[in-house]
Amino acid sequence: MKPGRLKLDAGTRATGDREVAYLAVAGEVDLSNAEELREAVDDTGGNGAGVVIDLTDVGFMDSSGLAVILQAARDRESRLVIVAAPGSAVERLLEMTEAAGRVRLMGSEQQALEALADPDAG
Amino acid sequence: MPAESPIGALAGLAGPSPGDHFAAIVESSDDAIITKDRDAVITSWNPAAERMYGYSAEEAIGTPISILIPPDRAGEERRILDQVLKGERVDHYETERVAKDGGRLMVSLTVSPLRDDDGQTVGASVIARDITHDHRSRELAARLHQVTAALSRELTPDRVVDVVLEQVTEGLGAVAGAVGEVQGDEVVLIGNVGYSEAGLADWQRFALDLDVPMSVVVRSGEALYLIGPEQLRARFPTFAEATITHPSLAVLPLISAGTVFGVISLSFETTRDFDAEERAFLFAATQQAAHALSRARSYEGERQEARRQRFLAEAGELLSEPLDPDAALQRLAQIAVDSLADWCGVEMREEDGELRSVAVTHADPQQVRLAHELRERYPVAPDSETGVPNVIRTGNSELYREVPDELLVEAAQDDEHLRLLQTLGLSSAMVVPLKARGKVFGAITFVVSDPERGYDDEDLALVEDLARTAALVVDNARLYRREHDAAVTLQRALLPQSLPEVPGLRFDARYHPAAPGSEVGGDWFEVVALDDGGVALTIGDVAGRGIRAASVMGQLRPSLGAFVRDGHGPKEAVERIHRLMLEFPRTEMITLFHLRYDPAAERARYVRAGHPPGLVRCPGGEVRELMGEGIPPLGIFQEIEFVDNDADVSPGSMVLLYTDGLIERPNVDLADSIERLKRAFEEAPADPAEALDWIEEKLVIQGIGDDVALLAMTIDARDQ
Repeated sequence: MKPGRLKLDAGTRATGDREVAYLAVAGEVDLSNAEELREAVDDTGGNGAGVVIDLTDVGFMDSSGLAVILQAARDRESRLVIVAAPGSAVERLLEMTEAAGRVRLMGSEQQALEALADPDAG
Repeated sequence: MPAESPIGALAGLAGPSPGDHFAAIVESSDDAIITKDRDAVITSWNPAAERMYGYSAEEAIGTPISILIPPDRAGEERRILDQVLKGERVDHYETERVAKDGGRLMVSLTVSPLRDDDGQTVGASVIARDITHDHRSRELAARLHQVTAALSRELTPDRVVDVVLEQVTEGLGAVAGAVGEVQGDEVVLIGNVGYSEAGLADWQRFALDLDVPMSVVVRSGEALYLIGPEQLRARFPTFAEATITHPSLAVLPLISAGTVFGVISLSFETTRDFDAEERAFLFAATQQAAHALSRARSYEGERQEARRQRFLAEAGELLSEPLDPDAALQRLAQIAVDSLADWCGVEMREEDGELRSVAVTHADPQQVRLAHELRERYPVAPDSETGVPNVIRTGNSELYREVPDELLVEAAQDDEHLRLLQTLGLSSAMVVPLKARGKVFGAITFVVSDPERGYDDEDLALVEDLARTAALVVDNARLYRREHDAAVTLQRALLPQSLPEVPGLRFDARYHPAAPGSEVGGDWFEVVALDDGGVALTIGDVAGRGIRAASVMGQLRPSLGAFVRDGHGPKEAVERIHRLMLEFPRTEMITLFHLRYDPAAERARYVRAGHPPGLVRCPGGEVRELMGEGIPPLGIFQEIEFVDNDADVSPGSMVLLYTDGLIERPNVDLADSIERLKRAFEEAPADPAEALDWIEEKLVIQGIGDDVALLAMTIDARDQ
């Protein structure tokens, strides 16, 4: 458990005429810090215009991290967009666990924000 | 003037010139001018000789010249005289002579033959010049040079003190000397030479405000010369009644950067004054010593600071790593002897009040055994009023700046104990408590055996700080471990204690909790033998941690077994598990791989729910992934379309199911990881237990942060 293995950076982003919560996650997510990620995700607020969880810089995620993401996706439905680069560890994990079809997965921050820009898309 | 007067004799020798002229020169010379006969009896003696040697002409003349020769130079006179009697002159021969009062003086001699009118050598004339002063100047200059040279090399304060004391006591002929250092409001002796042990006993450290020479000089910053017992008694009334063994004293301050930080004191057996040259020498030597000492101190300070820094850095790193408490304390003790101590021990108080030695380390590997032996044969008495028991009882640290032998004698339980203690060497020690949440549960002892490196308040503050951090880490680890142990115990208790026996099939399954310090996960497996000769294998992972995950798993596993035995197919059984999960008050995600094998049909049906693919090794050795059409993890999404898949699995094949801990590694691509597992599985032995050993070794599951479950089934090849 090396300190600082998981970095969380919560903020907001403007897209269209709305503001969405934006959580940048970096490092490794596993049993030891999945709770930390869960709290950060919960703190983004569930009922806003939308939430982006950017996992671009997550080099490793295990099933406990996956559980946090999938629960958030279930609770927020289409208001949650996950960013993970094609071919990245997170994307492969989502594919292998057949979870990719259950989350709105975008390849970049830009795409994620665009996906949340249209209120009717939600 | 009688004819045989020395002046007359010399005047006669002088040749044609009128005697009076020479007589006047001899009379007024500053050099001693003496004549002696062939038997070395003094025949003439001028006033300068009287001044130099203290004998009057009446006393000297007719006396053998040997009265002037020091006993240690007895043969010298004969050699000189023999040379002169052969007609040779001795020029500027530097030697030592003794005056009437016993004082020694250095002289330069010029000795010439005295001849009578026939040219026969009848004696010798001696011109002696007192060069004591020159000689002394040269000697003191040489000593000062030696002091400077030696001090520029000496890097430890103790060596500096030794060199200075040696040079100045010898240089001035002092019988004893001491160097004191100002420590707070005390003067502490840091070196001495020549004093009796009894004489020093009360003066190892004394108050700065005392009316004694060394304290006075520190306070005034000025040199103090006391010549004779009267002066001494007059200046220091405290000595009025004392027997004075050293009637003269020279005491000088050691000054660096304008501050008096120490004092040097020299004692003399005789009443003697100090001339300007000697005072200058002492001043210069003391100044050199002060510079060298302050340099050595700052160098030592730097080294000590560097040692402290290194210790802190290493200890900090150590304490941030997950380790079990004992291992952490053992490593801490190891780091301590690398930088801060020669010997370090850690004792913990167990719940029954007994002290347990957790770590004993020594900088010298040879001594480790000795240190262990000491701890084992002479365990710390729990009721001891000092040391570890006291620190644990009171929670207060102990600092022993010095450990004198008497303390060891007092502490030793018997002679053998004393011998061990002395062999290990204890010159300074610290004992600090391990305290967390208001409870002292142990103590760390730091010992140095190098007398040059005593512990001070700064060292104590450092290790106290560190002990506080270490105590918190250890306390957390203990609490955590208690919980971890409970979760592991529960987890293990909830897993199948045995696997069913099914003809033609062999099984093995493993559960490995995550490395200590990591969380306990919720991996599980189940094997159910079916009435139709088939078997249901399941492996799963409850996301979540600790006792909670274990208890969720504990409800799942028997339920699944029941669903399977009730005759539900793979798809239906898994769906029921999913529904069960959704009823849980808190949502838990699980992934699982569920496989039914029908040996008669040589076919398998499987459901893969958010789980990595199972593997089948065909009789030919090829490994296939059971990827099929998967479904998402269970327990989260209400609606899932359950799907199962078929696969041919012939006799002689082997099936391997596992959880993600086996293949998920930071910085390793999941696909690469699965490839690696497949290659390992290809070469694995046919026996399921051996195969799992093999795979565990190849995939290195030791020490990872996630738990791992493994399940292997070997389908025996049909008899030919």
